[in-house]
Amino acid sequence: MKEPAVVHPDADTLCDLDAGLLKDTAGEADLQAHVAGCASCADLLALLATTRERLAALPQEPMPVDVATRMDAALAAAAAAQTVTPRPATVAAVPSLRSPRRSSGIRWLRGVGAVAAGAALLMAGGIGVRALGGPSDRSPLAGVTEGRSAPATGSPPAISEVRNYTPATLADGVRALLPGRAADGAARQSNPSAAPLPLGTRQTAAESAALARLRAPAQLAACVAELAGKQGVTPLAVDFALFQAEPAVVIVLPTADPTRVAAWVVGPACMKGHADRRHDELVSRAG
Amino acid sequence: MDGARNGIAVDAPTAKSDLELLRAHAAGDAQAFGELVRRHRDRLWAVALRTVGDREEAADALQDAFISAFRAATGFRGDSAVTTWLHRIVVNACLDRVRRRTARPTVPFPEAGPAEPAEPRDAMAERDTGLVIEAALAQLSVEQRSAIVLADIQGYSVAETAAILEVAEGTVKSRCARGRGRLAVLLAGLRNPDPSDGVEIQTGGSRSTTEGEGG
Repeated sequence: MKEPAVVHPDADTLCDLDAGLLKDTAGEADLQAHVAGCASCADLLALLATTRERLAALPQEPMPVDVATRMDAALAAAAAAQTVTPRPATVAAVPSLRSPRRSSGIRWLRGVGAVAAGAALLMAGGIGVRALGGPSDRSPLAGVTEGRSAPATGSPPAISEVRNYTPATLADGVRALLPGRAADGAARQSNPSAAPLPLGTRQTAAESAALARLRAPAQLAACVAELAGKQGVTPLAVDFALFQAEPAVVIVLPTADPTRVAAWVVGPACMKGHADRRHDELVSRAG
Repeated sequence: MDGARNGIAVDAPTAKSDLELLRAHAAGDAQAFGELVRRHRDRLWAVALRTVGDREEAADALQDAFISAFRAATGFRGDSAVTTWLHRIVVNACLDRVRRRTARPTVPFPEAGPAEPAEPRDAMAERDTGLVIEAALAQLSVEQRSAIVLADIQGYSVAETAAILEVAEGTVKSRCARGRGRLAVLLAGLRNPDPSDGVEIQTGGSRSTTEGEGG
């Protein structure tokens, strides 16, 4: 009798044998013969069989309710966004920047400068956060912005006051971002006096920097397109803010249902192919 | 099919096949996609949870996947089962997340409990076996883990698993084989509470060389 060619197979080989990868190969019979007489190899094969059984027996936890709810909401928001008809693109909105319709006076700028600035960016293209009080009009508001932030041309202020949204406050916050009763899609100013949120959370320079990329209109537009699932959707409002104390952008999109808007919260990495989604929900305009 | 027998079941939503739901969605039925997802969400959740190994990240990956499936549905060509297609999107979203995380070492990976138990083995054996297995799974490469999750845990056939992962069947078998070898060693303590020190099995499963040394 000849000795088997394989004297002591390594573990990988035994794993392959166990997985049936060696079926009908020349060495299989020799291996089987070896294993039959080798306690340690037989042990490993038994252990592999046990491992397969253990894996198969792992309990399957159903999707938790909170996760399921979140998925439903996300899909509902996606469905709503998808059925919206494309709006005239950014160019059409520019005139409204030059003669902004504003429902409440000076107060809105303090707390939500970044909000309107985000919208302004999208409309006017690359003017920057300061553009809000700058070229858009000559009202005293300009002074407010200038006074509160570094007058660095073309770059966001080092420190601005932003909102810190949470899942609990998002809906109210979003309603506060929406234009008043004139829901014509052109007015994008906001009225913070209606906001029940603590305003004036300080955004540090680092947090502001985290979102800097998205302040570029093309980047923001790519992010919006990713959320909406198509190009050319103009947000109703954009707020560079915090969400649960993390830098985030709140983007409010119209839905097919005129009574509701889709509120998306995205992180700094929002781009084509990756929304960096933090939260979303459908928000009733009426509350 | 069966529903046709009593004719009344036509408007029962459950009577629709996955493909019919997907087509309805593509045709503008706002409810159809949600229903499709609800139908399969438990196993998709299980796949995501075990592939990613973290609840929050699994939920994020699933949401990304559902949204992109929602949008890609109109382009579904029917060259695979709807479930295969859904699983593929989910698994890819999970793999993306895991690979991004690996690229950013700041996020700690679940630590390797069962490899070096700090407590007596019989005590460990009494712990929740499931948790120990999850921790062992976390030590596999994501390629091995995703194959094992689909084939060994979820029980999909090698062919289905290969279709989901878009690799050859032989690749699935090989990833499962090596992954199981690694798991077998990591989980050996579960079966052998007796403190016979080293598991006397040597694997080449990880990165160890098996140059015939120490045979």
